[in-house]
Amino acid sequence: MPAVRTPLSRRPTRVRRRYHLRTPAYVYMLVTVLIAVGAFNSQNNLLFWAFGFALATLVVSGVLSGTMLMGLEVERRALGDTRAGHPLVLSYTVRNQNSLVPAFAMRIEEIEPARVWWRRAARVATPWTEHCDRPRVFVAHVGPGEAVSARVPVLAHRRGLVRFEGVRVISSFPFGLIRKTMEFPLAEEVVVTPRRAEPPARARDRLGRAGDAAIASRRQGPGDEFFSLREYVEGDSPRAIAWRASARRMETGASGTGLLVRQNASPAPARLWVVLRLNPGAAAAADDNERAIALATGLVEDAAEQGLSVGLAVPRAGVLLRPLAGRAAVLACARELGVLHLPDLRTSADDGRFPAAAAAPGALVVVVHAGPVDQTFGPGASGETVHVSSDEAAPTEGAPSAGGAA
Amino acid sequence: MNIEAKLNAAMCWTVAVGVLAFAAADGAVSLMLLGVAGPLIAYVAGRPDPRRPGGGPWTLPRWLAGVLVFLAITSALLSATVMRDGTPLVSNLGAFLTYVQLIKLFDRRATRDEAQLLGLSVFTAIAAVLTSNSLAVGVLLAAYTPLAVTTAMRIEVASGRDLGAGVTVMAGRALWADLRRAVGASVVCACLLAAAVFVAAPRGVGNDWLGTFGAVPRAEVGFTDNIRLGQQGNLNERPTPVFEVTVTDGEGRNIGDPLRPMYFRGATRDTYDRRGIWLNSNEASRQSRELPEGGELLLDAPGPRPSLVMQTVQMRARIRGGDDYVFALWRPVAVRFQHPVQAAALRSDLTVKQAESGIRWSGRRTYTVVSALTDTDSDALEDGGRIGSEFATGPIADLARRVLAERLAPVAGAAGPADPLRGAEPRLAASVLRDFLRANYSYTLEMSLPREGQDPIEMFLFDTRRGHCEYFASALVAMCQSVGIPARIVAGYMATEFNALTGQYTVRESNAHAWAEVHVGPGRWLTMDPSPPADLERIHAPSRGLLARLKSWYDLIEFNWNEAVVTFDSASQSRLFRPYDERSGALQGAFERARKAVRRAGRNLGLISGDDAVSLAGRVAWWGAVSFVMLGIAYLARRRLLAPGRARRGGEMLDDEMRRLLAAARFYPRALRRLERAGLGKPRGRSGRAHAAALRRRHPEIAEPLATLAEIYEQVRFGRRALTQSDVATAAASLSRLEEALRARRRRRAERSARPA
Repeated sequence: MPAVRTPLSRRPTRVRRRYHLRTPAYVYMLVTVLIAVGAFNSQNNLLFWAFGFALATLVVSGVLSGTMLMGLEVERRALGDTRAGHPLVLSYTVRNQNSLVPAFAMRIEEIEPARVWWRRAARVATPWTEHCDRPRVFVAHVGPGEAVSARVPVLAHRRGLVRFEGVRVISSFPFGLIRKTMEFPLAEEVVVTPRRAEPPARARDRLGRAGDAAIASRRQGPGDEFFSLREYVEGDSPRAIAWRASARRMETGASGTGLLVRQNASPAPARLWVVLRLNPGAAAAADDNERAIALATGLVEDAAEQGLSVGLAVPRAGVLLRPLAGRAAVLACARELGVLHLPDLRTSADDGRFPAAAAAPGALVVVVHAGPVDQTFGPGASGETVHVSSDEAAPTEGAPSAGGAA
Repeated sequence: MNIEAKLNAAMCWTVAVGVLAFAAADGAVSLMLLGVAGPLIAYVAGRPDPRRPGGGPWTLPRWLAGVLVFLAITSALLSATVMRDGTPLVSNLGAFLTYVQLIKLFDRRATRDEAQLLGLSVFTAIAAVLTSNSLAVGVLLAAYTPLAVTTAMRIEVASGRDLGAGVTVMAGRALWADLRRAVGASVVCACLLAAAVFVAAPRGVGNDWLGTFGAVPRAEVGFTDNIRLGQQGNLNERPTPVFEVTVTDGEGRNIGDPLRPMYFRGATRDTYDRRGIWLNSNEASRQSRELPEGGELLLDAPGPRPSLVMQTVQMRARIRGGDDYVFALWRPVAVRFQHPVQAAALRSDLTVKQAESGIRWSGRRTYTVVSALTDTDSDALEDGGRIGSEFATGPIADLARRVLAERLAPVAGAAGPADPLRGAEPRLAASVLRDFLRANYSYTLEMSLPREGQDPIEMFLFDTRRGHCEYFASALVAMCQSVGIPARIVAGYMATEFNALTGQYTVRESNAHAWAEVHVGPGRWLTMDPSPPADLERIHAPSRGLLARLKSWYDLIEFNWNEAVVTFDSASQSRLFRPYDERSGALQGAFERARKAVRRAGRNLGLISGDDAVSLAGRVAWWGAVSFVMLGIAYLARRRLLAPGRARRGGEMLDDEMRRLLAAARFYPRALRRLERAGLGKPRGRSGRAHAAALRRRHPEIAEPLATLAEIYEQVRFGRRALTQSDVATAAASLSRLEEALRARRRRRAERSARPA
């Protein structure tokens, strides 16, 4: 099921500011009160001065930090999608629009989904906390009118449509007494594509053989298969003239030279349908499903590498991608596999039928089963079908598997 | 210079100046040396050094820092409880804080440690304020303030390191220039606000309500009316200022003169008890009177204005023991005190004793003495002086008669030694005796003990022939009394140090002096100083030259410091606002109204004593209202205090289900704790599996179970998957394997370290 994206323009843009006292502030205030009591009790003038300075420090701290955060703007952009087990690169830009007051010592955090104060969309997208590490950014200083930016890689652990809600800027500057927080609603969604699992050897062999066989496409090209006839134009090779067809045409008294030239079809890659049969419902099947998704990813990538045209069908999720060739196939399939939301799988028997589109003759079909193989699931006699179980998936060397496929 | 190095420098400076301020306040030279040496070494050791493992600063091992702090605590507790040596609690506390700071300087690993160190330093500065209000402390605290602000800000800027090794740090172009500006602006604003609070805070409210809490132990000086001869040792030559005095004539003209020493008399003594102690025979008739702030003690009609001399004395230190004398050039006819005092006048010698009043006073102690130059003939003011019988016979009397006979013979004709005074004035006879002492005896501050049973005056006159001013004065008084001339010893100060910049004499502890007064006629006493003038000048004359000039500038600054800060009181507040009163009655009116309202509230609460204090019921009602407000504030503070805690406990970005899932995966944090303890802790920015991969090469036996544990944990944490029975069993087995591997590693290390080199 493709991800449903919430229109970003409808999200609130208001920045929220919060202040709260930290534990040192309470200690500080207690000490200030004691100094005041000591000053009034003893009339020790240096204690009066210390009391005044302690009060003034609190005031200066509040004013300075408030002014500092007043003109601050933060932007966050995810630089493209990523794959589980690989870093997701986030770009942060902090701009200080205040023309006088610099900003110091700010921690930048992504807002946790449970903490957003604006309306949460009921979404297929899942919070970033379930997918990747916490980005850790510290802004030591932004001068007046200045902007600083940095790219922060965070490790993505798990596939999915990742939702970032907003950015929080936290600062305790100047004295660590009051913690000021500003929250910027910056909603953004990023796809973390699944990890790849190595297909079993028999599947790889079959893909290799299918890659050697090409079929005629529906476009004119340099292949051997006939595509169409057209009129001869000067410069055409005499070997391309279709003599019999030209003779028949001349018999009908056609104008012009009457010669027809044979056009060949371009050779098309062999088609592969990867059909993913997932198990809905049972939580115990989640691992099987994830392994099957990783295996499907591996199959799609290997097939594209072999030069096959790859289509993807996930019957229970309503996903049907017509075969595409090359990198486009990998990207399209990876995105679709990435945003699959397992809790939303359809459970009725009709939804789990083999997709009719994949049953077209001449295509190789690889059915990836989450769990044990069900040989009855397939296109019937119309094409060659390879059944692969998620249990046959071998994790890619070195890749972490948390929450992922293998 | 990077952030770490800048923070290190600022922290070392802050600690050094804080400790120096406390050491200067407490007069602790050893702490002063520690305060310089410790931060200096810490600065060198605390610089990030790429040659060290990890490139970080050198730090004490945790256990050693812990042991040293424990020793410091034990030492402070022992000195405060078991070994009570009279050291004030604040001194003990300040020393303890200093030691802990010096230890912590070498034990800084995170921003939290830096913040703790700064907190300790601030407490040390407060301890300095509680110990002394001297100018040196003020100057050091003035230097301390911007340093502490700088350090606090640098700690915040450096706090990014707490986010772990993989944190991305962004910084603009001019970090340090902007930070300097921020420090400067903050310090200036804070000082202005602090000055406003200092000036406007109502003085006198709550005074003495909690005893001595917050009070500075005032400097005490050694003036004493206890003249006791025959003691061994050196006389005090400390230059501690005792008071400053401005001397004006009746028209208000300053009559101070650097070439004219002035004798400020305090106590008189006229009775000798043969044990070397001088007493005042009329002390019992001293009449005591409580005077409020601004009270005046009138002793006589002042007489015509031109004949008056005004002396405005501003005390710089409290007299040791709490009792003090009014110091005056000549006999006072009136004394006006600007502080509440228990004044006790003795009309026989016209001395006034001032004792601590029942009302504690922390403002300036200033009084103005009006002295009349002309003598009055009123016998009611003073008696004719006492002629004791202690010296009527004996070697002193013999000596006096012999001297007078020798020197007065030409004047008195052939009277002979049997009646040396016949025909001679007491003034002349006393002068002869004074000159005799000046010519034949030498001045010294070093004294030796008299022999057993020997009278100290006789030891001076016939044995050592050397002594200090008390011996000279005692000898003159004894010789005068022995020949029938009433005389008494006067203890006071000889002011020689006139500061032309302030128009004041500065009187120091080393200026303490004793001389004699001789009764030369009805109601007339003549000041006679038998100490050799050359020696007196050598001892009391202020030094001249560059240092002396610098010192006079220092005195000027110190005087203004005392005037503007240390002794700022309600009278100063009124004086400060008086000019505005003329221009804007509203401002002064508002200030006065506010001050009166605060004072009234203080009286209603019983914090200030006064005639219009409310009844017990009223006071209970007032306290009830105050308690209600305080409880409200406490309730609000508690809500604010607990709210962040609740939010924290709510768990960062974890929902209930995840917390439940993670509760079953406690094996993972446990494994991390084990690794941390073994010195193989996982850095914050690294995943468990990456840490296992990092450990794999050197510790494969640890890395393998750790990787398994991390994988299971991550499946729970990021895969939101509940642990199965098989997972639990695998985790338990891996954890035990990890612990076993760590134990084996520990054993190997122990064996290696036990093996002889």
